[in-house]
Amino acid sequence: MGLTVLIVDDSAVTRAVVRKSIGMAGLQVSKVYEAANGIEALKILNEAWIDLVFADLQMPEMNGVELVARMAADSMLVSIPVVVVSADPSEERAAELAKLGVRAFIRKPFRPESLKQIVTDILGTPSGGRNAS
Amino acid sequence: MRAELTPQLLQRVVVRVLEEAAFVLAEPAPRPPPFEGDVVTATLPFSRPCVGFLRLTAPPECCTAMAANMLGVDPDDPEAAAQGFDALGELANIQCGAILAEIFGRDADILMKLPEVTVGPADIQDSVQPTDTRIALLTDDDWRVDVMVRVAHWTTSSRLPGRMP
Repeated sequence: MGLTVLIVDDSAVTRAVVRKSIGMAGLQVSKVYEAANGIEALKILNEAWIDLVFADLQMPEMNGVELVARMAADSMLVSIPVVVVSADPSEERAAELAKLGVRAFIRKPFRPESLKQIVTDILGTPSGGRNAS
Repeated sequence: MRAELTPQLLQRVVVRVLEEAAFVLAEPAPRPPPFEGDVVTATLPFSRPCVGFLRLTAPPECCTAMAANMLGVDPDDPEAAAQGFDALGELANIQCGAILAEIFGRDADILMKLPEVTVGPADIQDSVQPTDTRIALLTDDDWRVDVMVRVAHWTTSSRLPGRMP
């Protein structure tokens, strides 16, 4: 059984790039959900089983930092691994997000291999689910 | 502050980002051909560690080509045309992050905002001040791509020691 992934980014192009990179990395994915901001993401997270979240930081309505904070404060969502995919170069921000539970930080532009390595590090295997974390 | 904002730094970072993020090869154009017709402009403000913005300008056809590359579809695919403006905004975002990291280092407190993408005549978009840092590139498909960074306000902590911007 493959992963269920949620990609959160206001850019449709970036969502497509992340989706394509997941495929090119050879990760076994059963379903990919997409959201354009934190509000849409929380709605999906409360309705569907999600193994892994890829989230941008700069988004309208609700940005990635607030999304991560909301997930950290929700007992039903806190265990879902979040990987931030952002052009934000700040190590300080990455450290702040790590304190909120973000598992990894991928800086754009990135290669599919780096995405695969990070997913493997988090989930144990390229197809591991939430129980494997 | 680790490095000074120069056209050489801008060129090096922008060429790298275009290649890595949009699979577009570009080189400096000392005498770039004029833009013909409308151009698409992505403006991305930043407010830390200094206040300013990055502006990325390209013809609509170039935006479509870059979107096609990023999406992995044919340039004639309707999705590429639909996502051209979005692709330019995303590239401005990636370029801005990379440039600020080169200037200030990754340990700096950097804050970028959302890109605004507009379309219009090139002469209206082309308001330049003497202190702006700007470059013009030509892609391998002969599209002109301009990048400009304007720093409106240098904070004390963001200034290169011994230099005035």
